[in-house]
Amino acid sequence: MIRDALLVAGKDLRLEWRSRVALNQVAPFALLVLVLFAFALDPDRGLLEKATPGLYWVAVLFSGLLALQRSFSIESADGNRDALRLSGLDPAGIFLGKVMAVGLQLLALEVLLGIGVAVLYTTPITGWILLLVTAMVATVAIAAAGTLYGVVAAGLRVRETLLPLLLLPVLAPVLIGSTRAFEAALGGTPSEGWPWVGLMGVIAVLYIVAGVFGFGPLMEES
Amino acid sequence: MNWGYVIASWIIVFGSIGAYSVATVLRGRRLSRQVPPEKRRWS
Amino acid sequence: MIPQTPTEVTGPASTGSRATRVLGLLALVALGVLVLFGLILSPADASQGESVRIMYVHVPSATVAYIGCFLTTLGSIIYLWRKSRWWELVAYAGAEVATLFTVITLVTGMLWGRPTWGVYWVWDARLTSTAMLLLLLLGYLAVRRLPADYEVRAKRAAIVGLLLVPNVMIVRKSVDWWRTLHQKPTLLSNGLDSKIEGLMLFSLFTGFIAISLVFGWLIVHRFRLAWLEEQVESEGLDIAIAERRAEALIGEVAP
Repeated sequence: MIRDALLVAGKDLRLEWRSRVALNQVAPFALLVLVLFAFALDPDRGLLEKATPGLYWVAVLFSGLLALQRSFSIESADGNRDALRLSGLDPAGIFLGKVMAVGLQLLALEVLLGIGVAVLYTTPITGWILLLVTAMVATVAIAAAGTLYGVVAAGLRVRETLLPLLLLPVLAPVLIGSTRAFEAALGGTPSEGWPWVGLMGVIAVLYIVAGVFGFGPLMEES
Repeated sequence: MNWGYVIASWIIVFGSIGAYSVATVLRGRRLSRQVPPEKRRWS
Repeated sequence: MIPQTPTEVTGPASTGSRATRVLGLLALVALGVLVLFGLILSPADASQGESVRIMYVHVPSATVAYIGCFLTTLGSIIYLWRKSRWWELVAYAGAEVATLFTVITLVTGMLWGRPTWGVYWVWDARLTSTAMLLLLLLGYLAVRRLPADYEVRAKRAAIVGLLLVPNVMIVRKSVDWWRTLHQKPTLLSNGLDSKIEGLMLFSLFTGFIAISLVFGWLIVHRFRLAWLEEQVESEGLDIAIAERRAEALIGEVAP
């Protein structure tokens, strides 16, 4: 299962690297969102710095959504779905592989956005351990839920509109949790942030379990 | 005081349940005509 | 099988049956009693005034909305496990009726909040998580109503339905924490949770009975309607296949 997962993850990341869509379109979009927030909220009144955690995670969610859509449009093109199904790979492995690939892309986006807010919003970065752990756990949760709902919406004509409707309400707790944890890290009382990391951990585990068991039935259909 | 809100919410509750029930029953009648009786397994 | 329109109907011509007629009658009687006690006989509350009467429909609606969600998740689990189409339709009926009652809960909650808090909406934990519940239900219904084959719709909807109750619980927990870590929940202390007794308690009890009966009646009818919808759809498929076969037999080369 783990070998299959690494295989699928490697394949997805290679594809992504060769097409350069993530690099040339998703990453600039993420930066664009940061600039748009500055236009929407007056940068002189310190609002940006105060709202950094929330703006950061909203930017991650929206640009991550683009990356997810991307990862499933590859799959539905050219009958890839059938090829993947006939490949004899373990469905759970395929799921975990896609989660890994999406997660790594999300992490790259988060690093980019982190540099972005530090430079553009002049937010002082403190509480490194909490920040890093929060980002890791939130990434796993977003990638797992995103991959599961991505498959639910995959191969349908309404995919682009259906995925956000399904995914964003489910990720609302992740947004709340990661934002509060970042606030705690940046505001100086990291102890308040750890319960949120725990909650996001529960979400991540729930979606990985649901994906490992639910992916098989979803792949079976014609 | 506040009777306006009370009446409004009760009207909304009864109205929406009523409208939904009527819509369900009417649609059921219409579809029943298209389905042979042996496939309707309630009596 | 070439379907014909049944001219002599021996089965029921609607989604009703003797049992649902009795259930519906009971529900109507209970609603009448609810109006009598909730709007006329019960007194106004000491702190909330007349607006406490909204609670007699609001609280039961919220409860049956949650029951509908449980039906959806239960039905989805059994469908995925046993491939039982019956339970899949229960899940669908549960979600749609739950959506109706979630909307009712939200609207009556807002109408209660306006006189009580002075605004229609506060970012209260219950209100916020109910709004999220509505969005989750709409997501399920969007998948269930996809223009696709039954198998495709049902399986994908079942995955969403399976996760409905866990999602609701997680959202509820996170929203609770979100509101209570920063401010203490003072809003409700003189509202919902104040003790109620006597006729008011009886009115609320009547509300539970009446709304539960209505819920049961709606679930049965919606389930039968969903059953008919699937029959008509597969019937339509049969017609199309029969037509294709007929064309092929006439002598045209079938693709």
